[in-house]
Amino acid sequence: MEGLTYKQVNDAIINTLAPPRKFYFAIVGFFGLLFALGMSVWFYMIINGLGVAGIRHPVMWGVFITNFVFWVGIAHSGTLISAILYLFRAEWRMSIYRSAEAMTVFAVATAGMYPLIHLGRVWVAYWTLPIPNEMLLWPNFKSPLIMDVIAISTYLTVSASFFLIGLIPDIAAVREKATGIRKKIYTILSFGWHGTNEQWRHYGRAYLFFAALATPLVISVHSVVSWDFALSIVPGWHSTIFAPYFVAGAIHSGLALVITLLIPLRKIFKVENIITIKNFESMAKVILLTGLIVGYAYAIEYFLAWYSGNPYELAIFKWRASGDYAPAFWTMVICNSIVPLLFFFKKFRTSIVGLLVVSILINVGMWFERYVIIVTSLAHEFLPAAWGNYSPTWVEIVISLGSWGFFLMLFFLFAKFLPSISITEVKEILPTPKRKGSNNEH
Amino acid sequence: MNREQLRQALTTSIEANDKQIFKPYIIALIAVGVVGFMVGMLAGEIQQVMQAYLINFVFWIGIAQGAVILSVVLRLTNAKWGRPIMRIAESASAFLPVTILLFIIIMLGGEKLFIWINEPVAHKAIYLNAPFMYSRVLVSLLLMTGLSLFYVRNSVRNDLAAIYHGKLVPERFRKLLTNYDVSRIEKSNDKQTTLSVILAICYAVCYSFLAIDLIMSLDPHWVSTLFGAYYFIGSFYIGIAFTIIMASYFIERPEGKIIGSKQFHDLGKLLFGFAIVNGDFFYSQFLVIWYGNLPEETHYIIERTQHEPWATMAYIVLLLSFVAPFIILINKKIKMNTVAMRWVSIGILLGIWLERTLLIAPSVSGNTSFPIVWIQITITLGFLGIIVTSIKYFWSKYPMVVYGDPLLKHSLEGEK
Repeated sequence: MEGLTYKQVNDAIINTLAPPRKFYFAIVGFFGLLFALGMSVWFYMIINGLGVAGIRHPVMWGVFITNFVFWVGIAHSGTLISAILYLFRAEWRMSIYRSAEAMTVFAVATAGMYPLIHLGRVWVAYWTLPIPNEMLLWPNFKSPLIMDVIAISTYLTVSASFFLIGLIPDIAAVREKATGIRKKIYTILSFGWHGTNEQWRHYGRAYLFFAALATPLVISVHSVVSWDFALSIVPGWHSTIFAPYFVAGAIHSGLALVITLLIPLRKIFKVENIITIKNFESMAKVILLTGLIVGYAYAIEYFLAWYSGNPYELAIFKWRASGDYAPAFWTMVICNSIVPLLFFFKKFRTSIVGLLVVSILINVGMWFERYVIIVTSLAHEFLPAAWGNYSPTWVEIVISLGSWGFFLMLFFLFAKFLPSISITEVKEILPTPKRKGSNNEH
Repeated sequence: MNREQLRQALTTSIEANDKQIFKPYIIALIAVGVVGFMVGMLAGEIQQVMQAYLINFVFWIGIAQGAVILSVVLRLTNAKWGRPIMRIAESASAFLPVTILLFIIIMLGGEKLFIWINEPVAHKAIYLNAPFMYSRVLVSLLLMTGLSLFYVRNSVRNDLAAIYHGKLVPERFRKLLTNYDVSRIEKSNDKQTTLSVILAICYAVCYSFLAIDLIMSLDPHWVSTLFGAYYFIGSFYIGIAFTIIMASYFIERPEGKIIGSKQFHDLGKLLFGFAIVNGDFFYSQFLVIWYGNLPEETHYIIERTQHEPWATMAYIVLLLSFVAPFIILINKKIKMNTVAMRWVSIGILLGIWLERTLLIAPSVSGNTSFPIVWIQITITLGFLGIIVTSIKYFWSKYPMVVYGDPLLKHSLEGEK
């Protein structure tokens, strides 16, 4: 990023918001249609009942819940990059955190759809909320599922506010150049920002507090998601390592998706000198760490399943690796903990192709991790007479694709309507411009 | 402090070569430990003595190794702020070779501790048997000690090369610096980074198994998958606390000026963070076991949180290792105050020491009898004496600031 000036950064980033070409409309339209297709299939499912999906007794949680956990996991990288790395004063976060944050908000929104889809009778979704009512329904507060509703909605609120607050100075910068209706919208979103010292002082403090409060929140959210499983006594689910292991896995998949999305983004917007290969290298290092943590968790679970002497526990772990779901299991192990080891080599951390391939594989692996955990444990519980396998039907597959359409459509809209790189923070790490006439002019 | 002043201060300290390591108070500490050990044994309280010994063993190896890992982590994250405290953290490595000798006593008295030595658990005997377990632990200790000492040696060699660049090298460092000079520092730093990665991974693996073998297996029917990580994270946590205590004494030395309230502020934040992580790892296990309510798991928690005397101790542990540090360390002024940080850290060490007691004692000597207090205290003082001796030895011999590290410039005046 050396050699850039404030003006170049300003122009480069604001230029990303220039009126798009036809190709852009085609992409957004395609993802929009995909989303619409997913939604229509959902209506088909509502009309015909949940029976059109593959979920049958004993596997009552299938691809919908897998997708839910997967998308919540994706959401974690945004807050990691914007809050945790902010607290660690890691400068490499600055050019990437905005898009990661946007991803967080959209991923939580996508995740939030799945419990609703999974409900079946979605119009009575409000029954799960803790509202006293004449039907004398009262949700079981001890249920981790209720804890989950609360955790996810808190997370959506906080990550959305964090995202919007971080945007204020940048939107003000865009406002100055915008015209017409756009100017009006940007004016509202910039909350009267004029860049006075007083405003910056408050803004800095607010951002710090937000970061400090968002950090424990992001860890608690995926812990709560993991407890949806771990608090039961189902073999393969009931494990104390689940909370930290899920948090690490969430960051693993989230960072991988950030890499997958930013590689084309920087190319399309021609901002290779702002989102540099060094940024990717740092992300690859963090992925290496989370990959090792996830690998550690896989290994220690197997060892302690044997050590525990619990026949049910041991049986499920043996079955995962050798039974009907073995291909899914080995995809998970190879993609999540073996492929990322390539990042030990600088060559892979700094090669665009290497980064792209590994990051996509990790996302495949992380999706299968949730699939394996959820489906195998339910398929083989304590009673062999009640065993049964599961595979998704076309309904579940199309709805899943539809959610990708939703997510990517939102992401592409964001990239054109809001600055996808933080103008203010990138400037912070550039050398301060000198007045004309001073000795070393920039 | 600028570079030249630091170099002056370092050479003065190194050349003073303080031979008098065994100060009277240290001899007294070790003597109390040895006497306590002997008297306990002679009084027939063999199990109590071994129990106190094991508690201290897992506590102090965790501190020493955790502190070395702090230096490793600072190197891996290129932490500019942490350069001045790296060597202080590394100095705890001097205790590691001693731990291998100290482990011999556990091998000798093991059957009083590990119930499965005399009553093997049917299908686990292949893993839980004395020869295999002792060799596992010894391999872990040897591997971690070897790697840590090699890491510290390389680091010290770079600094000596930089300090004595173009100057006469003192006699005792000549061998270390043969055919070595500043031109090789850069390459050595790359190798150190690789070594750091290996050290960090080995730490996680070895210390997980130490936790399973030396603590979890005391109750051979109880299992918690997070237990290994809980032990190595807890050890890292007290490693940070111990480094803060060392740093609070280090600032009295001439080269100690390199550490200011800024470093204490950052160390305080790190300590705060790990107070939360440690608390989180406890809670992740507690909640899952409580909610699952399976008898083979809950007995471990019930014994320790609902039966006296352990219940009271459990609350003291929670207070000292999580609640108090959490509340106190929010305050910025406290984090920047060296004396206050020393006392907060001592409180945390006490909390984790009690926590190790809480994990070990109910499994070894039953859930009703309280450990004999004088045995606990004397043996703890003995261990304290040994670790202080080894650290004092290190401090008197080697440069105590990573002078040759390229990132140290951010902490020196007149450089950037």
